[in-house]
Amino acid sequence: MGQNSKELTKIEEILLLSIWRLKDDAYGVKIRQHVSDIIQKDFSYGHLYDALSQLEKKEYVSKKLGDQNPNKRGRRQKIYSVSKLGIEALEKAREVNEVIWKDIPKLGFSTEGSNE
Amino acid sequence: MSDINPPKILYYLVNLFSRSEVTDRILDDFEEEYEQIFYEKGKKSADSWYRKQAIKSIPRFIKFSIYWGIVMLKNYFKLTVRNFLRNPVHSAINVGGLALALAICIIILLFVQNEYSYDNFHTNADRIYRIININEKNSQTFSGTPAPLAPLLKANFEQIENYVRIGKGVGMLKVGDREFFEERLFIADNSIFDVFSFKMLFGDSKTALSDKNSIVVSATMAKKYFGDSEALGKTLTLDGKDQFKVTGVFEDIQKNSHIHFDFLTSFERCKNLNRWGNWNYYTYLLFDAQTSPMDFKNQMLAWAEETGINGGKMYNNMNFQELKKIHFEYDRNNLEPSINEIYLDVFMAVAFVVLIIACINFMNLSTAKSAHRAKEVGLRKVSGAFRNQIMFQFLGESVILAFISNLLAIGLTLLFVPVFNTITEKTLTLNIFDPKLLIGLLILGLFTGLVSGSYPAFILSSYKPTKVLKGRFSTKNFSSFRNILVVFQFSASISLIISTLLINSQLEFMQKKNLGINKENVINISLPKNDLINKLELLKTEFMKLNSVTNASAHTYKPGDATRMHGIYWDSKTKDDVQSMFIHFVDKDFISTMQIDMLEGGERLKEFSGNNSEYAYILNEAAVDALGWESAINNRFSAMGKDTPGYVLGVMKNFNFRSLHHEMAPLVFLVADKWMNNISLRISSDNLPETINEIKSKWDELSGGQDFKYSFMDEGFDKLYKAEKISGDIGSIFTIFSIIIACMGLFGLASYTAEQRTKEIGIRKTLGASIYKILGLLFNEIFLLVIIANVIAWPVAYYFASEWLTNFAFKVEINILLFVYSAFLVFLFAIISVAYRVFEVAKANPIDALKYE
Repeated sequence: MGQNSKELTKIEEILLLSIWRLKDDAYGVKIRQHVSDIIQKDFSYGHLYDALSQLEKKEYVSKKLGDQNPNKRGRRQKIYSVSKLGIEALEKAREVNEVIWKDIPKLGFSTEGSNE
Repeated sequence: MSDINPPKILYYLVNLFSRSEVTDRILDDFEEEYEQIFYEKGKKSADSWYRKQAIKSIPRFIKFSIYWGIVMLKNYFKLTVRNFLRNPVHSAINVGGLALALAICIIILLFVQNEYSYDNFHTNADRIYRIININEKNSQTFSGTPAPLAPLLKANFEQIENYVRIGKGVGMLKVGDREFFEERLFIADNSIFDVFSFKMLFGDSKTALSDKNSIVVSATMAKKYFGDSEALGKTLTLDGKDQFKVTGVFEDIQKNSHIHFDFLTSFERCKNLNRWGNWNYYTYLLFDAQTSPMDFKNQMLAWAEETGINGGKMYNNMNFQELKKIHFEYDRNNLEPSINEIYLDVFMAVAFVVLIIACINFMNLSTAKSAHRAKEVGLRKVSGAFRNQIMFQFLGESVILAFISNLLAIGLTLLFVPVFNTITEKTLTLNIFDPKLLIGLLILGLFTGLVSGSYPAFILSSYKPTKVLKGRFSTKNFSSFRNILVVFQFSASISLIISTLLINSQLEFMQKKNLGINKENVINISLPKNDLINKLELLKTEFMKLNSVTNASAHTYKPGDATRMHGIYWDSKTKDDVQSMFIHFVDKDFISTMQIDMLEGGERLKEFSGNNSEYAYILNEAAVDALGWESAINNRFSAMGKDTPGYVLGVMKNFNFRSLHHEMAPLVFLVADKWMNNISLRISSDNLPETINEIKSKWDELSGGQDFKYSFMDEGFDKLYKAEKISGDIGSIFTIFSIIIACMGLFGLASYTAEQRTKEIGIRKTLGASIYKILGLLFNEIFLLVIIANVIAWPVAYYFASEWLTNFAFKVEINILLFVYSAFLVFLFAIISVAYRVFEVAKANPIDALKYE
């Protein structure tokens, strides 16, 4: 699809980074639990797959069949990984983050949840 | 592990809301996590988590589906447009053909709906019946009744809630110094506004016609006579003598009514109020809710026998006609043309056929196109497209195209409706927001789209991709099916052509047939009802002084006009022997003016001098037969019971005084100088307008400038066939359209076939075949198809044609030439449709053809 000039949304950023961290473990259940931990809120499957499909559309993630044993229904997992484009987008996000947070002192509130 | 059973809820939800590829993954994820929780916290926690998570996910799933649904739609649109543009001609033909057929269907449906809606605006419609009499010999009906009948019935039967009698009439109405001749000035009982739902705009419907000097006028007429000022209370003068007060203004009667009138006066004015011999009037009965006409008839017959009432046999032949059926049942006393329900069925059938043809076309062309794209399909499958995706794409494409056709169809319909209205003299309107219409189109669009898309969708998407790519995908499977469709289309078209040609030839026959009366070159002038009537001889003499006028005669009814029946009386008549015949009142010059042939007694006419104490009659052969007389001359005879005694002066040869639907009926001329309403002049002139002007000047001179209302007699006759003529016109239109659509289909198919066989043609050419040989080959196939179509169509057309012709007592022979002609016509069209494309291909360079892939 080519260059997407829009920025990553916060949840997309979190999602991509989670996928990156989880590496070979980056499939549905694991991703959802990981993200839920991070944002300290229950991240629903609906939300997960919706966001994943958007990322797929922008070609920031790709899927491949995992090597794990097939589950009860005989299907293997679909493992997600961040694509090159995805990495670029992440770097951009990091840049922006560093710029806007640069030299800001601790603001005294506990940061709760994600901006969604 | 086996008793892990998550609640089923998610299964259904997910299947409902998410796309197939993702469904599996989601279910798997849910299951895995469910297991986790199950082992950690037990079944209860697991179930509760499962349910919560499922419900939580729903909104997103929905959004997800919708989003992707829209993306897919956009994709389909893009692809559809791209495919459309690749073959603009084919696609246009496809969509256009379907749209055209749909438009035709919609118009026909509107028409049929309109016809069935006649007289349905009366609240009491289901309980109103018109009294008709059935002629036992030929089961034809006559709707005239004597005036005293209705009151008598009402007095003796409780089941009759109310009755209305209506009598036709004409007259000259004058307001101030403006006078007009009005043709729809009827008499009616005051109950007309109770029984029927004609709306009274001003005035009291309960009393409007209770006075003998009251008149009610229609809204248009109120405007005509009184302009914008109020009509109530004003005075109109009838025929120069009687004054009438306007007691009501009623809404113009809507088009879908079997009866129309502009003025009503009280039925009490009826000159034959108490006469049983005069059957001029329409009687409508309003039955109570429990009575059926069958019951009533039995009761009535029983009563008639018991009381030994006069004219007992009359009740035997009496029947009660449903109000809503009047429009469909032909009756010679009817004011307005009826339409045989059969026509409506035929039109619907034709619409259906045309639609099927178009749908078949649509399917044909879609299929042909998609076979062409088999390669595309193969490629996509190899590159990972799911079967579903391909299927949906084909389906989506055809559904979209079908819906575009729908839109186009609405546009076409709006365009055509005014033209159609002009032809059929109706005012049909298309209500685009009619839910029935929208739903119907929706269903049709979906149906056509799905059916035509399904063939390629299912067939193609199931083929193994390798097979398709390698080109072993053969189109032979399709071609026999397509050929069948083509044959069907052409049979339908041929049948339509034959039928239309036949209808038209019957029409021509009816117009040209020698009726036994010379209707050409006769001008008919309406006489106003004033003292002009006493100057008839003077008028006639004066007119004859003009060079262009050869004969003049006065009479009551215009020939071809509705005529009346009376209770006939003759010398040997017995009480039960009731005869009804058609009567004209004519003067002694009528026979010669109309050039009617006399069988016997012609010479005596010349010597005839009017003598009011005795009347002279001329009967036609059919009348003499009906009476069972061997000789007729000088027999005692009376047309109207005791009132008009006389003798038979002569017998005339049968001539068609009614439309050719009917067999020859008994006709009686009462020769007198009374009751004349019209003067007819036979003219012989080279300059028609000039002659008319001459006559008009003479008229002005003689009548003192009264309304010059004239018409041509042959036009009067033509009007009898108005219904047929309209049907013929409609039929022609349908035929043309169905041929267009069939040819469109053939054109598209031929193009496709030619393209497919380019390679084959290329090879043939290289092997030395000439262009003509190739052309011949292709044409042969078409020839065969058309022949088969003819074989099917001829018997079908013949059957329907002969059925239709049974409507007419006088009809044409079914001419075999018509069939041949139609076949040839269709073949010609087929060739033309195909020729262009085929010729192109045949001419092409064989090398290019061989390279073509």
